[in-house]
Amino acid sequence: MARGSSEAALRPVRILVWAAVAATVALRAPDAGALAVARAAGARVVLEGRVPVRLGLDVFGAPGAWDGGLGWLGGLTVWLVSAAGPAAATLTTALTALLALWLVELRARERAPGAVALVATAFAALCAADALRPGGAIENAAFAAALLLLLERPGPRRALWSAALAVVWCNASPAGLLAPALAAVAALGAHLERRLPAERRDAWLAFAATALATLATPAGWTFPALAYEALRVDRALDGLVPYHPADVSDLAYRTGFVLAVLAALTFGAGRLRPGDALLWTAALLLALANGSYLAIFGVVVAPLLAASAAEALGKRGPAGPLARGPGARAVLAAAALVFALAAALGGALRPAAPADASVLARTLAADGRGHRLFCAVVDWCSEAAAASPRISVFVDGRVEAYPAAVLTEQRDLAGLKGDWRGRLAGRRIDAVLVRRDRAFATLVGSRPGWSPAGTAGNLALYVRRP
Amino acid sequence: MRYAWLVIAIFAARFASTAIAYPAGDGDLAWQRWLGATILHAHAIPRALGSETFSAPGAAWVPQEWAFSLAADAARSGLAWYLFAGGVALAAVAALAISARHAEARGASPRAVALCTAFAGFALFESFGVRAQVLAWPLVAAFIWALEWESPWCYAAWPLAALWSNLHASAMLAPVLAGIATGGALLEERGFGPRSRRYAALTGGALVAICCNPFGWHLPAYALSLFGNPIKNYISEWKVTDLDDLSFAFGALPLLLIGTIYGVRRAGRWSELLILGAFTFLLLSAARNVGLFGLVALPLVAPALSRSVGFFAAPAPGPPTRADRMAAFGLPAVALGLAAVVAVELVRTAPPPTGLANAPLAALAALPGEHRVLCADFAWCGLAVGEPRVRVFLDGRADPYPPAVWSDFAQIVRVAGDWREILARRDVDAVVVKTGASLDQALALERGWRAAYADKTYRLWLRSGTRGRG
Repeated sequence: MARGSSEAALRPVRILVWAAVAATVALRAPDAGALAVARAAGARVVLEGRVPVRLGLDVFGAPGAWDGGLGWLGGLTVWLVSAAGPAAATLTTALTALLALWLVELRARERAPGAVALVATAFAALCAADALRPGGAIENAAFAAALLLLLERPGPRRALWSAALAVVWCNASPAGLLAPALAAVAALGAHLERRLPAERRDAWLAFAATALATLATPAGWTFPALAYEALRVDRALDGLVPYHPADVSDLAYRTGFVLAVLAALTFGAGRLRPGDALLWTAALLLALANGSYLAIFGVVVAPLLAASAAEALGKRGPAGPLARGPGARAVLAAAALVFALAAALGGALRPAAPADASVLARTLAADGRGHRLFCAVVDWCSEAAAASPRISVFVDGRVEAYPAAVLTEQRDLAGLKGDWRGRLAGRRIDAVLVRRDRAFATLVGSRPGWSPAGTAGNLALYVRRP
Repeated sequence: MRYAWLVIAIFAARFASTAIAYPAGDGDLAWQRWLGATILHAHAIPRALGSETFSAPGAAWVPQEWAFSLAADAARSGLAWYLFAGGVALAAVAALAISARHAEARGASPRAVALCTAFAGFALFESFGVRAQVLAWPLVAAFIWALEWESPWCYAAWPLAALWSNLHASAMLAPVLAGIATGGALLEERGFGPRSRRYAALTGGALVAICCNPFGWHLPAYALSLFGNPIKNYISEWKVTDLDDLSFAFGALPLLLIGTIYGVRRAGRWSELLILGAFTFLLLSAARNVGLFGLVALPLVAPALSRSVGFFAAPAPGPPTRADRMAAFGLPAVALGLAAVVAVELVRTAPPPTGLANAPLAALAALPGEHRVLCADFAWCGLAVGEPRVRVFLDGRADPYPPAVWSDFAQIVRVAGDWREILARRDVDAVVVKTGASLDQALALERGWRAAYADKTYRLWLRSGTRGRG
């Protein structure tokens, strides 16, 4: 009866949290660049009637290089959803985010009272603040949350379900490689916790199944290596892609991540079980390695923090867990609300991010000729190539597919090192996309034969006149 | 401490070797020596930028490093330099030792103290140099420990804060830390109890103490103004911490991991948690705080490790074995002996200290007339501060320069927008750059500039037709 009334009291708070998350998704400007790239990849699958596994002629840095068709299913999904209009993309993203948070709450409620679990859910939402928009890759957080829920269920069937989920995840995104990583951490945790032999066996079975699942993509056995590069956690790509949490996901880093770390210092995120300690360590390192994974960090650690907090707070008196008192419940509800509103407000206040690279690519292609484009930041070239089929780019965001020598050349060109002018000429590059407030813009603009062709946002396009 | 001494001794060797081999011609040391000489000459501490800069003469300045600068001026070379550099290394070692002893006093086992001391030592690595802030490290460690003393000795925190404020502006942290402890005590006592009152007195006293320096209340005001100062965007030390920082990855992060896995809060105690929380926030906000975090985290994290992990639990009391005595005295003695050998060898074999960008700046100083120079790395220009016929655009003193100067500097160095016009408007007639850098390439394309000096690393550009003013 008491549990039932407690549930009833939490329901409006939960609805508020969810509404705040949905509002955040609706208010945030979509990541137009990421959506355009995914849409183009999906369209390619539809047009060719198969999954392209090599770089096409849209890149001249390494045409024909093996890229394994990473993320083809995600691209196809974006293409299908986009066909239904922008509202469909927003709705799908909001539903995915709510699914992820619901799964987080389910996991948290297994180890903590409802109110604490709800606060943990709001925590996870805050950590996902930068991903709560169409194109923000929130689906990876949902996959992670679902997988962890499966991995924490007893029984041999979890291996089967985990493998099925991992197959979908690996085909949807290179982040699917995290599936066997999470399963390995869970299995190691079961071992360290000296659980029953059957449980340990099932945990390792789940790891093996998810590891095998990574091979069930068009990339085949090359998926792990390619996906690892595509995860962008490897410092070998330094200078090509952004890593630092505050650069990639500023809002979530400065709010959700810092708060989670402070909460862990208070309660001890891995104090209860060795498995929790492993999971916390892995999630923390992942988030610090690349801010793109702060949303995954949130869904992984929120239930651990909820369990530790419930245990710590529950020890405080004979009255039992803090969450049971009506006053305390109100405090927790208010905290959840504040977290959720902060996420919504923070998201709403973020400036819109129009796909400047796409705009300039269309400007470039307007003359009806083909162009060979170099971009100081590789992701801009993904957007440019997706915006116009007439544009061939030197290196795009699929950095995992390019030979090391090409990446070095890209890095040297972007850094204006050595004979960069000779390289531009040698590669027959006739257009460059650079930040307008950087040296490249000034130096290329002062070269004979080069002239500005347009600006959008912070970006400037320069072309070589024939 | 029996294992920790060994760790500390190893770090002592490392810090001593770094300090003694530290480039005595470093830009920051150069302007600090100039400051020391100026103070001695004028019998007063300058309170504004002077004619050594042409971009912001007269800008208000709080030379917080005045005491360090006096010592640096007195220790320009020879034995004095070795003593001075060794003293700075000793400050870092003392900080580690104080924090380790603090951890032990809080109940951490020898193993936990040793491990966490090693991590804290790594956390200090990248921040360590012959710098004023290093002298403040032992004071930070001692101040935090003093806050925990239940006896009247806790008021030793006041003179510590006063001394701290004469060495570095980070002394502003003293009343903040005491204030946080007060907040924690209020939570613990659920009211204004004896501990809260003591902490409140410590906070008030620390506020007064940090004004006991030649600048009075201007020092904490200056430190506070840095929080919202946009010039932080241009200084790498202020960048957000990430895994690329080795001191973070191998020092602060392991401490953070231990703290977050096991939790540092003891039942009913909030002060320590709030203090560590504040430093964790600082750690994640800016790379320059990694070292401080290490010193603060060590005494809080090591006891948590002892409480939570059997291997690190405190050993049962008993008479020391031979192995214990060896660990307590033998190993540290060997390590200290090795450290002494390394230091002596360094003193004997270290080449004469050379500057970083002093060659192009020396070339500039040798040219007749007056020069107005911009260095692509503003710290290089510290070497030219005080040169009779050279005035700098921006130098390592950094903080007193107005944001407009920084903005113009960034435009020029990034070769962005109106960089040519800014160079002309600011009347810069000499530029020192790294060979091959963007600005170097841009100046090569400019008609009005010529290279007056070049070596493997640096190039000095002069505005054509400029042979110096005057």
